[in-house]
Amino acid sequence: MASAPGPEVGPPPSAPPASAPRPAVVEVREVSRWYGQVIALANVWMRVEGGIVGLLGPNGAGKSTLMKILAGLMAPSRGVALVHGRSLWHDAEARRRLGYCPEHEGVYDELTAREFVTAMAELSGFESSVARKRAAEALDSVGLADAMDRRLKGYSKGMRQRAKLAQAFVHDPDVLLLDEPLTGCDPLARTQIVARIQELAKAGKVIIVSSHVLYEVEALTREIVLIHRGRVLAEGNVYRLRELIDRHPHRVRVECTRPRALAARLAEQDHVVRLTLGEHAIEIETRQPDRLYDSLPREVLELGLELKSLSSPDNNLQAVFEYLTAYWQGTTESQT
Amino acid sequence: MTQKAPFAQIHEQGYERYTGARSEQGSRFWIVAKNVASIAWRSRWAVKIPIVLTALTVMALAGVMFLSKGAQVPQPGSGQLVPIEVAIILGSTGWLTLLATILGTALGCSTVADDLKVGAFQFYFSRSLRANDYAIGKLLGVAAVVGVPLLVAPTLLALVRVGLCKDATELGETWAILPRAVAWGLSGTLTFTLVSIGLGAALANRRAAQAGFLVWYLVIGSIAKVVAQVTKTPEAGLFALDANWGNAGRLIFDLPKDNHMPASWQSLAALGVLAAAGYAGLLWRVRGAEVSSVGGGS
Repeated sequence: MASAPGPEVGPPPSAPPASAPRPAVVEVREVSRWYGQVIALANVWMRVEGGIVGLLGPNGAGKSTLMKILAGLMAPSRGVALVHGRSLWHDAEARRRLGYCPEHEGVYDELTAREFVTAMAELSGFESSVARKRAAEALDSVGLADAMDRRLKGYSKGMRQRAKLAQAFVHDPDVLLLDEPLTGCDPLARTQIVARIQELAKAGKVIIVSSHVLYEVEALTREIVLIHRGRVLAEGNVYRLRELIDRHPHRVRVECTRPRALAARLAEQDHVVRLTLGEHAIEIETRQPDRLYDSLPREVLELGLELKSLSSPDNNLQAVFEYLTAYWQGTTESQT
Repeated sequence: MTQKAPFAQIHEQGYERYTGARSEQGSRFWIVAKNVASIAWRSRWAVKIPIVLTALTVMALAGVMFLSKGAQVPQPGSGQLVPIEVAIILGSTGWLTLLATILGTALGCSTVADDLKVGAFQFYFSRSLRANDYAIGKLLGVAAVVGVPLLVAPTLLALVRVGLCKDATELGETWAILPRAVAWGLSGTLTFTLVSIGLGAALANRRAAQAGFLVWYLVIGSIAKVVAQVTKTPEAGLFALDANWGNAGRLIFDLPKDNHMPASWQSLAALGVLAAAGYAGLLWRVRGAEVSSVGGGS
């Protein structure tokens, strides 16, 4: 994916990577965007070659701005954003290959979902009868088969989200930009939308999903771009990113019988930096998680312990996000 | 990232790329227009009632035309005798423009303003749709509705009159009423559509635009007509939309001008200027939204 900096570096590089491994489907080069005195995006570089990519960041990080620039709805103040090698800004024809699900509502309450999605398909060039058929299929695939002839003003937030998602892919685009597609959805709608997005990815679509809710993205993909205050903090596989954060020891929690015995064994290993003993569990902090995962089963077997659970509380997006944003905060503060 | 798909590869998982026909990009404005008219008809009584009233008006006036065929009546403002059908068509100006004003207020003032407010531009401009197609589509959609009282009604009345002709001689003397009615209707439809849409787009606020359009038509226009008559300054009448349209009709139907109104060509020019201003307001807003952030916040 990316020419982004590793987490150790902090701000993004000021130059592109020396060599691009493959042609990118989506490519962002040195993009900045400001609104008057406010900088929404600062020197962003990004490459997406395929699959689902999560664009993560807190509210106001610049995700929607980046999405709009990619969708051709907004021009960058500097730099260039390309989809299939073409800037979609002022290129209506090139936008045919793009599907965009905006964060904001913007739907016509008086239309039924079928009419709305049909109109969007027609705007993408489908004949009326084909558009109507495709709209019905798209709405069916997001679980709105029974409700597609109801007016949108009677829809719940989750149903509207699904209708918006249907209009984004009804015209068979190659690239889908989904801006906070799970906002306001109930668990059932969330599950349906996640399943549909995964189906679309399996069908070969390149999908960029933005969200400020980490577990939403985690349900979709492990490939992320982390954006904060308009800058790309990190990108890549979330596990790989976690490994790169060596300032923070990796935490592993083991629930077992006789945790004290296990703690005594582990304390002899040089990669273990800290042990926290509980009544029925032990939390281990290590700088070399691979070595820990190698040795743990052996120790458990040798001691004859009953292992109840093994988890890594910080091996998830939340932890990566917190470490990186905290690191970035510290870097900028020390610079000032 | 790990295991990326090669460039633009479509995996074999039951996915079939659409390879059928797609319509020309330049024809997409029809879809926008269709959408406007469709939403208008189902959503607002302010649209349905004026259209029904227009239909009733046409039926009533057609009846009058049938019963008084061949009569001549003095024209208000000049006193010249004119055929009853011309007097009926031009005499309906005030009523038809009132209906058109209601339609323009309900639909024209809100169509772009509402898109700006709710962020619907994002759906349009993330597709292969150009700003001009959007603008033309919106204009056509609103014109299709506003044109019911301003274009369809006079055209139908002219058709009724032509249909009442007994022989070819009478038809030869009368047929010109039809293209004149169409031309007059088009001038009114264009002006009322562009002014209401342009106002809504420029203000980017439906309520402000609706208030402004109504105040202009009902208050400023009425005052302008009174001032023109009382102070004998016909140019004041140029501020009245309906008076300008009626006065332009006199030029189109080859009748002398109203003594209290400016020259008919001035009224026609005023309609042109207003229409151009409305279109400029629309384009300014659409292009502005396209350049900055097309609705929906950042």
